[in-house]
Amino acid sequence: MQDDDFFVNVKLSERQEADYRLIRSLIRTGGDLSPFYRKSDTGDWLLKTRTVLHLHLGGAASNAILYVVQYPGHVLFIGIDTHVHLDDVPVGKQLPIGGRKRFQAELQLAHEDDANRLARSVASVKAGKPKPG
Amino acid sequence: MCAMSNAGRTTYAVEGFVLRTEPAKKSRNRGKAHARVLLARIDAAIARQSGRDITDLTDEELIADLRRHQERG
Repeated sequence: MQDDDFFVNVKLSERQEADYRLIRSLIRTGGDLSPFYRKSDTGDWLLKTRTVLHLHLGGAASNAILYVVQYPGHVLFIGIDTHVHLDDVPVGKQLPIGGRKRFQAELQLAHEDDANRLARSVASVKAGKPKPG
Repeated sequence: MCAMSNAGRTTYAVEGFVLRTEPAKKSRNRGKAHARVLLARIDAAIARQSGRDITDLTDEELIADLRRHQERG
């Protein structure tokens, strides 16, 4: 999924565009994204504090970063930028959060909808159950 | 929009979403209850627009979309 406020603040090379395509394909097929991830020496505070994962486009030394958030059934693409959000104090303070909040609200509604549907289904099964004796 | 009573709560089906209000006993005046339902309806409308599924885009469409965002940025 792509965030409503998705942004690209970096001019991407063909190799970086190819990596973006590949990452999307790997997510779709459940492939390994670890070749695009490089944890910084001081610890990944963006992941720890804001659950935002950063993936390098065009190799580990690249300054083009795809910022994503992982959910149980979805991956949300936040945007593409330089390391700026990793270097911010506090980390990630400039990343837009409106689209992410709306997306999470949508997931919550879908979850509640499923839970309500399940409860109705259980109730209807119970109602139709023959009484013992 | 339709409403159904469900164990002391009111369940509203709004544009495909099922939204539950607080128990009816706590709603002391109709104005507040109405406001709450309207708010839920707006939230549902916003929620339906959130995020964009890029899973089914072709590779060409995906890159074209990427470049459009790049030009805007």
